[in-house]
Amino acid sequence: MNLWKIMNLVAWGLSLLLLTVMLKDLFRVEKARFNQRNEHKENIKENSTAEDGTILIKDKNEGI
Amino acid sequence: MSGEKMEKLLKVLGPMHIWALGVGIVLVGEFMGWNFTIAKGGSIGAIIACWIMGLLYVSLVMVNTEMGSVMPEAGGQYTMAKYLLGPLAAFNVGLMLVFEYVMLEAADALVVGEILKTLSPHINSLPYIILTLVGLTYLNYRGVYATLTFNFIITAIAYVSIFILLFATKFYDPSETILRLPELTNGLPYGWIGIVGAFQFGIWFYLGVEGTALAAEECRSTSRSLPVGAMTGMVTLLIGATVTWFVCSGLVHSDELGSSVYPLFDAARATNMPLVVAMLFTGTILSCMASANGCITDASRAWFAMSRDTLISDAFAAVHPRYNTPYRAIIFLLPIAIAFGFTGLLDQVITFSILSALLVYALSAYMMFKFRRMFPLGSIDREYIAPLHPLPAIILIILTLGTLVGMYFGYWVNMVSGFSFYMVASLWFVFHRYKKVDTEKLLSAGVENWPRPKGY
Repeated sequence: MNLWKIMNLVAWGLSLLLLTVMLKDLFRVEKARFNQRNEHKENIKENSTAEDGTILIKDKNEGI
Repeated sequence: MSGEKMEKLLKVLGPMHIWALGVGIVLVGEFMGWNFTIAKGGSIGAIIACWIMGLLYVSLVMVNTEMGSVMPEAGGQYTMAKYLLGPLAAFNVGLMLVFEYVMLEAADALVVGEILKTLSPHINSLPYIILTLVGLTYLNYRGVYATLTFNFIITAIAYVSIFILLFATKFYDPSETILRLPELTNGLPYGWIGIVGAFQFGIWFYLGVEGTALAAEECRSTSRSLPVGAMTGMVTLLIGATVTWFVCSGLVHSDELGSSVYPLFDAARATNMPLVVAMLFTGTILSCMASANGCITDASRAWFAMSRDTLISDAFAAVHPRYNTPYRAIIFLLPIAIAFGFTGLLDQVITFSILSALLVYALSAYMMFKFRRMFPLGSIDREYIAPLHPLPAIILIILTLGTLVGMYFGYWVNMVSGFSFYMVASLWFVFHRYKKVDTEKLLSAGVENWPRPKGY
């Protein structure tokens, strides 16, 4: 296999590597956002329920 | 979105970065594409078209800089449109900017692949096209400061390579120069109508320099960085375009030059100097990369701005928590750029890019008139005032319309397709998306920072 064909493979490999790194970071960030949003929702749900089980209506401008 | 930290882009850019952003996107036009002006208008027609289009872009930069330096938000002409023309025009301008830059970046990557193929028949262009797009997208994903500093370096190297070729010709010594302008040029073979036909390719010398306005939000001092960077960028490009025409026309016969894929590279090969050939080979690749890099920056900022303003799904308005880049917009546009590159219809893709740009320019001229009417001098803080108003706006609209007329003769199908596309997109926006637009959020920054416009 000559040098140019090896270079072709290197180019493919580099592309895949960079894409993987980017998508991995993207996945990490989105997972963190998703968890943060769920945490917020849980906090609001807890705060929104009175001790006797009555649902408290929150102002829609508060919360998430 | 209340309760969440306001997501903002970092303010790290100076005039050097704005210069790099503007010149970097555009410089590839000296290395390929401009030479079709010679096929349309002849050698003299080409240089006349070059200077007339230079006048169009000087006017454009003046009006953009005055409006852009007052609007410190990502989005450039899109942001101007939302405050001056309303949501529908803003949506169209945003879409036009995105398509202009995404198609240009795809074309840049394709040229990198094609140039590399000249080294050996065993080279496959496809992996290098993808590597160029993925690599530059990754650079943008990681941060705008590093991206544009990188752009400054490779743009400077590419620009210097043009002058290396110029001095290699010994143009300053009539007895030793290898330039043969009288023999190789063909004057004005099609008369003045040829010059009009050459306009759209003369645009390639400068197309994209208006992208400087898209980085306004990320400048340390917008009022200083934008005018200084944009104006020095235009001077750089005017000099570069003239030198490019001069050396290419003096080294390559007009018949060959009018159809060349790489005019500067072919001019370098005509010198038979291996070092010069290597420099221009490198310069061509670097200019393509600089252009694609700037296009990725600008396209993602325009998409981000539209999303932040709810004109499209707000999913793309997220900013990376560590790198402070519009990471979703950057990644979203990557497969679109690759897809456009793989249509294989390169000239069609580039023509659509030029058409989108021309529509933005026409609207920019109209916006300048409206801007001065709504906010007369003295009513709002302006660090830059476009001189001799309304002359720049008038020149801009006349030359833009003239270029569209010239484009019609060769590419009327593309024009009809382009107009149809934007019409369909507008219908989607009016009948489907508009009810989800948060008009308060759309204009909140202007409402907070500006006085009530005159007449409103």
